[in-house]
Amino acid sequence: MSTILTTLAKELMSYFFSPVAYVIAVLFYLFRGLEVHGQVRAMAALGADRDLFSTVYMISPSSNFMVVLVPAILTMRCFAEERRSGSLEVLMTAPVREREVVLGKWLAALVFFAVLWLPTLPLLLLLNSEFFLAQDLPYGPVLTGYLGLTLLGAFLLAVGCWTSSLTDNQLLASLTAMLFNTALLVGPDMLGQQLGAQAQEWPWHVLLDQTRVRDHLVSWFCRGLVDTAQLTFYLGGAVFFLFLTTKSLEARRWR
Amino acid sequence: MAMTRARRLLGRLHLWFASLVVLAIWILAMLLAVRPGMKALFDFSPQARFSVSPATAELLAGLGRGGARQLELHTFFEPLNETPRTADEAHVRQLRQRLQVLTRDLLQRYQYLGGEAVKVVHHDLLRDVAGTRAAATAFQVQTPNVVVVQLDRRSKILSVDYDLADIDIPDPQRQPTPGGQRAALPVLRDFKGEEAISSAIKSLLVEGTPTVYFVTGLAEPSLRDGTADAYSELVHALEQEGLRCQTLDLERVGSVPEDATVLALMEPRRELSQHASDAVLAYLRRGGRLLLNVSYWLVPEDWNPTFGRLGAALGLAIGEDVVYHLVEDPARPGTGMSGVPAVQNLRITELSPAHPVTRQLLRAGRVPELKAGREVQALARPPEGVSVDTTLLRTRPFAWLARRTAGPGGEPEANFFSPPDREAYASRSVGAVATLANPAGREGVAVIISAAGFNNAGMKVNGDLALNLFQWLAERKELVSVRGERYVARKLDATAQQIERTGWLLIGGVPGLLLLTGIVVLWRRSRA
Repeated sequence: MSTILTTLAKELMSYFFSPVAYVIAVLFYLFRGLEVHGQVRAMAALGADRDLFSTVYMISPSSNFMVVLVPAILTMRCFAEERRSGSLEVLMTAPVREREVVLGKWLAALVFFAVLWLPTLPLLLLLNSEFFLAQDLPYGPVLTGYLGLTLLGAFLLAVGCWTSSLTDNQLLASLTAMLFNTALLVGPDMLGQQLGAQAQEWPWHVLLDQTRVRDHLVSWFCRGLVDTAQLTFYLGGAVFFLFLTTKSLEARRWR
Repeated sequence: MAMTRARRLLGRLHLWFASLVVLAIWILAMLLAVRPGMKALFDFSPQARFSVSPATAELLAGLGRGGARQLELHTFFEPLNETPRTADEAHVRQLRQRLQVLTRDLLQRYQYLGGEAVKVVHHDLLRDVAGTRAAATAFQVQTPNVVVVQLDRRSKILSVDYDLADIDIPDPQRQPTPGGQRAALPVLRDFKGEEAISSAIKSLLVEGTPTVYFVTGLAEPSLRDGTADAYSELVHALEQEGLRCQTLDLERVGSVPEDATVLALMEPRRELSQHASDAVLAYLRRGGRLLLNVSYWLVPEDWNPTFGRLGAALGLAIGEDVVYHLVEDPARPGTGMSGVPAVQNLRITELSPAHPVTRQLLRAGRVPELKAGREVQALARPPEGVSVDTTLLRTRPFAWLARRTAGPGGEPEANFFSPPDREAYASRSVGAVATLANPAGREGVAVIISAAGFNNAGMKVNGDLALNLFQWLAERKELVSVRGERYVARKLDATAQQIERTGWLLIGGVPGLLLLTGIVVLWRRSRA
């Protein structure tokens, strides 16, 4: 346990003192600001239903950037960099278990990913104040959207950790993770189309529904819905890829 | 060397095997997690719009339990692919889009609750032209924006614009003003999808089509107009629930048709003639069902029939005076006040816990709000074979009977002030049930509601009571239920100044703050 906490603290420090993290945050909130402001203007001009705002607020296009690119960027150096510099060998000969190191690094990336999203919550509070919009915009979908994005982040960060454990090339690790993330966003729909009517049959329809992460975010989490069945996919996925990462590190011993 | 190779191979095999086992566990967990007994849905959406009423949840669960019943919900939405050319077009498109989203959301919940017994199909004309056309032909769909509810082989078509939503449609004659102000645009008032779709499912579940005859020719409000005092919403809702609505000029025809399941008199303003009263009584004695809904009119005075002949045969009397009730004083909570028109509004909190109609409302905490009421009392000695229950709907205890007063010019005037005499206050009945024994067959039942509340202005609040009364009278007791809450649309209204401030916050404030934090942290780090 102490190994996990030590690794978590060390990794978190490195994230918070990295210029890359601030560049990501500033760019993300700048794009997001432009998008949300545009949405506010359009919705006010059309007299749109204000209950829609929270959903739109959470699933603006910049969210895709956060989902596809950021987990890959955050985790690319987790093991690849340590491998390249040789510090992984030192770490693995120390009296620590592989799974503790993996969990510590993954948790640090997850905490940082969640913190990146955190300003969305107080921002909505500010928008609801008299000085800004004073609209009684609902918080429910924002909170559940935050939960959904964090769960998806947990899953994708585990994928990123795994790809990083396979190579000593950071760029390759991040590109592989990005490719996987993109495939996860668009793959189930494409597969569903390929399968045609068969996609409606058990177990395909269950597996396809469970893996449609974009649909989970757009139609469920960001509308204020939390389905326990979807949680199984994200938590199970994170556990699976963290297991693969651990095994990948263990496999070094046999070489 | 050979040992090392064998060890490597063994290691790889172990890795693959362990990975496959964990993957299998993950897939198994996913398959198990979607089983109805294993999953749960938590709704944090605005107005909990994905949460359907317990009655709808029970209805859908019942379909699943039956096993043999397959409910299909097909949508035919208008494609919204064209870019709007004007601001008005953009507004209408936005409204349509919102309705489509709300309908999809609702159907998503139906599918979730119904499991394998419910199938939702969205027909998209842009993606699958042939399939959509074939489905539209099969269901006889002629216009877009409809939902087809199909249960087994029977189906019903619901319009998204008219059946599932309440839209304020502006007067088409209204033109833009010379000042440049736009003509009024349609506005979504509320979404009543659950109410409409669940009613359609229920109407498909029961066999047969009972007929309700609305008695006309008694100066009653219109059954077809869209005005607040008309009854078009009630008629429409009854038709949605599978009842056929007809009109009957009783004075002219002279008898109640044999196929009448329920005879309804909605706010008649003239007395029934002797022969018409006798026709109604004959109908009741042969096991007929009557709903008599009267109200109070200040002027003209003769718009307040008491139906003395009919009442005497049913063992009850409808008063001539109006029932008023103290309203809560906003300045002193917990105390009552009078002297304001609101004393006419009667919140009916005293509902009979024994009657199936009111019991459902009590359970759901729905309080009918009636107005312009008159007291209905049981006669001391009802006729033989007649039993009367006046506990169906009663006011709270601070109701009094008010008489007309003469204004300065001698014209009648409402007196909203409460009497000083404490004896004048009581809980008063505005709803009663009279049952007429019929040795030859089923008993006749008459429900008297002596206050207004089922017209278009009151249906939103009292729709459950009205529809349940009709369903109960029609002996469709399984359809007596409480309908879902409506989703009320709330417009986003922001001034140009508010939008500008929001822009500063979102585009300047937040990224700027993050940039500053980054610079400070990295600067301090470099110094350390």
